[in-house]
Amino acid sequence: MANYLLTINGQQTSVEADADTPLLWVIRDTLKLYGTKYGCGIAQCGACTVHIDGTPVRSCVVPISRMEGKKIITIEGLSKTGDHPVQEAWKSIDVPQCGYCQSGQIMSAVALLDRIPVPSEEDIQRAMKGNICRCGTYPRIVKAIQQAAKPQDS
Amino acid sequence: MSKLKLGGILLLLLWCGACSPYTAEQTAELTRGKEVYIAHCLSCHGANGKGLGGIYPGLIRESITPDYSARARYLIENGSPATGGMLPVPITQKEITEVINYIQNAWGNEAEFLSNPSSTQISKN
Repeated sequence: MANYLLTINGQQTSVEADADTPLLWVIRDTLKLYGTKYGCGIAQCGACTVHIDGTPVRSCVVPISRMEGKKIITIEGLSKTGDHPVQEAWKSIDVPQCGYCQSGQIMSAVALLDRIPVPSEEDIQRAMKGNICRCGTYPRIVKAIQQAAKPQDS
Repeated sequence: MSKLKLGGILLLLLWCGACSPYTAEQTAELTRGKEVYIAHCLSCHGANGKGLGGIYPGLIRESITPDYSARARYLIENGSPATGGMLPVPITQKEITEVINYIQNAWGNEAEFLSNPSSTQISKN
């Protein structure tokens, strides 16, 4: 076991873990941030998506030893009150059904809008394909991303 | 902003465009490929293509050979037989071509752009 200094949601924190412990384990079991979900454990479903230096990454496959010096944002870090524009769009469209995959979906959507502020439907399909929703809420996810992408004054 | 400054910026943009080794179509292909890479590959192979040492391989090569391209397509379509190895990636043939073109032209990699395999080629695979 070793100590790792992490920057999660803007706060520095030191955690003790084995070098190959997945970041997801640390986020959920050590830091008790339960918004990030465990889905497949092999980077195939996207439920565990967090941002590392602004990029969406599946936290289930990234070892904690690689996280020092990186800025990690989880769903809890998007907004203290859950009112990030993407979260607002999600609520307005009523996207979730069971909700399990949704924090991963939202993290991928936020990162997409950071890269492409007004994405086409093709852009959305391409960027969100790595996030699987067993309930099949895909049409509402696309709609919510399009709503969040709209300029505020329109 | 003065007309002079605006003119200068326009000239700079034109000059930068002329410096790019890629056509507008290739640049668009790289943008699409990067999006596919972010969605499906980045978590293991890294934002810089260097992989995660000892766990997931890097994708940077001194020269890109046809074997590299073929192996990339094979691994994306079929996954790796190694235990704990890469799984097949559920993307279209077009997206496979886009992401291979991106990988082969990112982080210092350089290669000719591939075109989508024809339906005849696909059916032979």
